[in-house]
Amino acid sequence: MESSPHTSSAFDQDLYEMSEKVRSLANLVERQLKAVTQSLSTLEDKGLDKLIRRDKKVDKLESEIIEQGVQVIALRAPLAEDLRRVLVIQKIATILERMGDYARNTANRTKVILAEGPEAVPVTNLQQMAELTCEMLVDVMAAFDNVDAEMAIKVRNGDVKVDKLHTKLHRDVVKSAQNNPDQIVANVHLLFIAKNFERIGDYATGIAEQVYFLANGTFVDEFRPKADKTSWNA
Amino acid sequence: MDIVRAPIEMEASKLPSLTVGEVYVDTPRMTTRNVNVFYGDKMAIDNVTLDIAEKQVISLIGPSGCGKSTFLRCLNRMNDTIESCRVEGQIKLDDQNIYDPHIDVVPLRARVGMVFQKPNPFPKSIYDNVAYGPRIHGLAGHKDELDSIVEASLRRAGLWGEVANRLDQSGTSLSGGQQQRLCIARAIAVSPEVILMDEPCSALDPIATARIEELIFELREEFTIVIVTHSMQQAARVSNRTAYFHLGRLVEVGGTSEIFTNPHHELTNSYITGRFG
Amino acid sequence: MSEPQKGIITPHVAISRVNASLAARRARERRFRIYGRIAIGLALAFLVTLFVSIFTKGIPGFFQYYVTLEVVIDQEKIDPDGDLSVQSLYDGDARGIIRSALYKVTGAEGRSGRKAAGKLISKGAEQRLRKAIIKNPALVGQTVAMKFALDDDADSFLRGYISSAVPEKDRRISDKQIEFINKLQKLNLISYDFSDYLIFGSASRDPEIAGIKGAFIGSMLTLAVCLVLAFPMGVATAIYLEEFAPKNRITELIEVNINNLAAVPSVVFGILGLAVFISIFGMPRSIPLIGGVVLALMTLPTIIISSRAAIRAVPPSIRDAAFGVGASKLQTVMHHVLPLAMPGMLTGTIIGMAQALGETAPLLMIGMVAFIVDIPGSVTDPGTVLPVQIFMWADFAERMFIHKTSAAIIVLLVFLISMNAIAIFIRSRLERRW
Repeated sequence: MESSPHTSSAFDQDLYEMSEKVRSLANLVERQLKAVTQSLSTLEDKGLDKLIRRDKKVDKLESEIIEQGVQVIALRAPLAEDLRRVLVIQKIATILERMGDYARNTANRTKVILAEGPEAVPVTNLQQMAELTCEMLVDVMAAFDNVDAEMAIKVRNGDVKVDKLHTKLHRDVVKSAQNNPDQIVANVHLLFIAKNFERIGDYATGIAEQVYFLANGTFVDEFRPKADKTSWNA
Repeated sequence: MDIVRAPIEMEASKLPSLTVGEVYVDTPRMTTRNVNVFYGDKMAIDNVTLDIAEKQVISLIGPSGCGKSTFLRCLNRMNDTIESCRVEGQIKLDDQNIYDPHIDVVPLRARVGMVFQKPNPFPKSIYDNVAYGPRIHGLAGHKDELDSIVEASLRRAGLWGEVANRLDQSGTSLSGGQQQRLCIARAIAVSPEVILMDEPCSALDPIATARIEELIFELREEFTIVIVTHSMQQAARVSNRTAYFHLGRLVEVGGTSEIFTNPHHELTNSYITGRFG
Repeated sequence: MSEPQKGIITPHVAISRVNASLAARRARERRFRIYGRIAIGLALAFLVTLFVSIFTKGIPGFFQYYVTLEVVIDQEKIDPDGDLSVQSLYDGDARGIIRSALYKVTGAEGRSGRKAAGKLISKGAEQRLRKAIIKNPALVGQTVAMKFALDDDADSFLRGYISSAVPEKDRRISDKQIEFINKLQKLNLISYDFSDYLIFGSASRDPEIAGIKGAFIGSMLTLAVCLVLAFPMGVATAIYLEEFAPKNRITELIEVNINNLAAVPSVVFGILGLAVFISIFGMPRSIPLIGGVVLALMTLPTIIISSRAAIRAVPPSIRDAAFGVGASKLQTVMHHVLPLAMPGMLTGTIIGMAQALGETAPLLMIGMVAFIVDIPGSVTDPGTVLPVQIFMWADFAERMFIHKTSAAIIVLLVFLISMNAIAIFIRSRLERRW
């Protein structure tokens, strides 16, 4: 964590707790993503309902972190590095909560796909994409733990792969929908799921940018590489 | 968690040989170059180079005994009253070296006014407190002129409304915050170019402090202000630039928002985030 | 937690130990308080003894016996030249006028009888008559009832110090005189009244007409000289030493010497005055000017020390404030430090003056102990001062001087107390709080 402790040990305790909470939130979201990925890749319902219910916990943890952040700002008046840490943790918590929302949304859609008949949906690239975003989340949280801006930048640049996979998947799904017009509902949902994972990847880069700010006190100024071409596809 | 406190002596090894940040400005009112100050054999200020920009507020912060007050008192030679104090290097007001032996300290102090930590009005009437400076410097030709100087100074110090109908009362009968604003009025009555403030709010309650801070904020349109403060929030609120002193060295100087959000030197960061001091 | 850490006493153990030590502590405190009360009691007892002794002896000193006589002021006798000049009055027979009035009421006859009767009246009587006439020339040619002081022997007899039981040759008053006194008393002509001689009379060997006026004025003149010299010099020295003098060996030496000077016995200053002013400069003895100079030397350290303390008590923030607006060193001192230190300086000065007022020894050395009847009109006229007057009276044998001495002491004490009261008043009134 920090170079040396604060004169006020309670302040250290507050910052430590906040960091721990955002870590456990990240772990929870990671678990959600893994669970939904498993159901998707096997095309079987592996506790999707439980997953959906668990999203409440994500929301709760997020609001707890925000609340504690407000308290720390009010009571300890953090400055410089400390101020950045509090703000960054709050922001990461919000991003993680959004990721959790996408996981739940994906679970809902997966249920529909499973109900509609999952034979005709191309999930191979999807599984890879999901695993990739999950990996990004794990890496970016490691970067956060070590306040490692370099690692954060690496994660951020890794989003290109997700984008590329998304473009590929997009094409696959469109093709599959054309070939199986009766499976249109499942394919549409699959399209949205693909979009969800693409967004999750974007959010992971968002966290990476926060980690960069935490480490350097400045924002990443270079333009983020993008490879999501779906918007220009037919 | 284990708390291991680094003694300040150990921090000495972390002192930079050169000040971090931009010590020079485009429009300096005062410049200090390689200033060393000694009390007897003890070095209180070690090689400080800093520009004080015109019509800006610069805050000097740092732990107790870091030399910030000593540095401030060098700027109008208030250290002259301490016999063992010796100043080396160059301190210029505009283009004049204020430690030049030919310089008369009286006009210097008229140009570089000072407000002290403890409100110290003279035990005289409010009017006489403000009129004292103009009187000894012969600023006012006649009574009417002096009256208008007193009124204008009290107005600029935001005190006129409270004392207009009791100018003949003793300055010491005012509240602490009012006394400090009276002292500011007294300082600006001689139309100084630079105002030095040595922890002007340390003896005041938060409301009085807020009023003084507001006043400083307004005064920076007309005056160049150097303020020593222990309150980092205060430095953050009132100043354009902030300079961090540590063990007699100027460790870092920079824009206030930069210093308080993203200090570059480890010692500055440790001090600002409350890791020692 | 079960094993108590070394150096940490549990509250339970702590309170029991505190309670155990309490009794001894209280006893010690009680003893200390008792010692203090005994000390104060002793001091008070001595003070009361002093005051009782002075007042019992001194109060009668403010009164004396007078006889009222019907004097026939005959123009020829009192004023032979007829021009009411002092010379003419002194040529006249004021004594005869008073004596004949006395003979008339006492019925004294014969040479010895008349002599005895004449001795009953103070020598100051004729002077009083002359003065009355100078003041009111219309009295000439009239018969007036006037009060004259009785001679000290008659006075002592009336006070009961001389018993008629003692054989005549062993007492200072004869049987005949006792007879006259009894007669006068019967005629209700003798009265016991406030002694105007004490306050308005000047030095005299005759106790019934001796007074402190000369000594009082001598004291005033001496003090005036002392104040004029010591106050400005003391204040200036204090200001220089505190505000301007560089802190080095020489100033340190001066400071030490000033402090030592305060402890020098006052008689040494007297010797100094004698040696320097009288022997070397050849100035006259007994004059208030030299007395004042000597006392000024003596009070100077007191004034300097108290003035320096007063200057040091001025908060440095006031100096900072003055310097901060660009006041020079002198302006800072004159405008701020001096006014604020003035009450303390004045208090020290008044205490120094009070000290000087009560001083005897150095004035004895410069000859202010001389017997001088004339009241000094200026600082260069020979004179004496109150404490020296007291000293001289205490030396005289006449019974009546015992009372006069104590009465003079009371006057001196009242004077001193009022000076101290002024000092307290100034301190409480002028002292500023900041």
